[in-house]
Amino acid sequence: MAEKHACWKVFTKGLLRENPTLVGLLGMCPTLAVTSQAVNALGMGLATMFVLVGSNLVISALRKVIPAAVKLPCYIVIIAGFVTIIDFLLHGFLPELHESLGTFLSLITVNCIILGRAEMFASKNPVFPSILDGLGMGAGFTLSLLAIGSVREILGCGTWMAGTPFMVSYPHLQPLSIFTSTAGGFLTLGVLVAIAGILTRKPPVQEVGCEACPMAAACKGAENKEADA
Amino acid sequence: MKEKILPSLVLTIVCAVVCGLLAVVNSLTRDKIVQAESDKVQRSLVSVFGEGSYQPLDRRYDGVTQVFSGNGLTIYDITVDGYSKGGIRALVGIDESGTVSGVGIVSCGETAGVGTKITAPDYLAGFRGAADESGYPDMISGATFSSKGIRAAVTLAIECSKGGVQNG
Repeated sequence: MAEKHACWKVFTKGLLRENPTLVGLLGMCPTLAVTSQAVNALGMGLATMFVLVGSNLVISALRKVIPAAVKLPCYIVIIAGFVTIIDFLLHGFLPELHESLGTFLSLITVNCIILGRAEMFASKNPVFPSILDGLGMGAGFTLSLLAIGSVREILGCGTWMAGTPFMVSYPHLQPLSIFTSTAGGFLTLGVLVAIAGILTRKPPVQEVGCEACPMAAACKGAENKEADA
Repeated sequence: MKEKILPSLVLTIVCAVVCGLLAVVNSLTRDKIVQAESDKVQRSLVSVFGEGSYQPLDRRYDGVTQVFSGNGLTIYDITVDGYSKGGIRALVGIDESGTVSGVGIVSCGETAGVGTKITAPDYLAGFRGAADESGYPDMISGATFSSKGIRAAVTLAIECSKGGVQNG
């Protein structure tokens, strides 16, 4: 039972508590670039999720085989492989989506969320939790992108999910074109980050000393202070 | 010795396996991709210039991807820079008298809600009957680069039809 609970936690931590976009602030480039329309945001999120689950699976399966010296090149090759596969598949089967994601699709390779999860989680954990981690983080990324994309598209274009059968339009809304530009992306992102911050708020740290600081080993601050005095 | 050889060996094997996989996926999707690309152009041709068969011509101009003929028109498939580089891919149909008979957009990578205004059918219809720049519709305010892009595409097509562009 306890194990089941732990697995569930591995999955859900990506949704809000350690949400890669809104709490981790990782992968900002695709986040801002493709979210001017909800459907692109959803497509980007799902493509990233596919790559994340695939690369987590392979990397955690190979975690004992890959020597530390060539860890990063191996991860990048594996991730790039998955990205190229999804690129081919989208180009062949969903050419419209492929068109609108453009360069950002191939740039999933260097999305720091994927390399981050490979390094922080998949390289240290067994296959099953790594898949769950990939699913959770991917879902968190997708939901964040969809939220940003929905706000931007509704306020900026007066439609939602344009180009799909689920399209909703709001003809009484006067489109605010700032929301389709980068500045609107930042505004939306900032508000959502603040909301996520409120939802995940922890009691503030009372006092930070060198003892509790994770950077203490690499830091010369305390010595410098002594020298000044 | 082992720690010298093993990392390179593992990396080589990983690369080889990934390459193999990609080769398999590529062979599965290659035909689909070519098909999707040509379908997209054909769909745009039919939607802008009406039903009919459009045959690619063996003519090449600088800046023109492909030339089609059909319905008594010569149609130029042109990609131009808008706000984003290579952001506008347009089809420009020129009739026998050298005037524009229609403009269609195959793909537009311009800013949604701003540059994409040039894809509005009403706006594109304004190019119909133009024989030079005096016949073009006004620029769209706020979408200067995209408007310039589509104008450049139409101008290039007119130049090609006059024979004013070098065969590339």
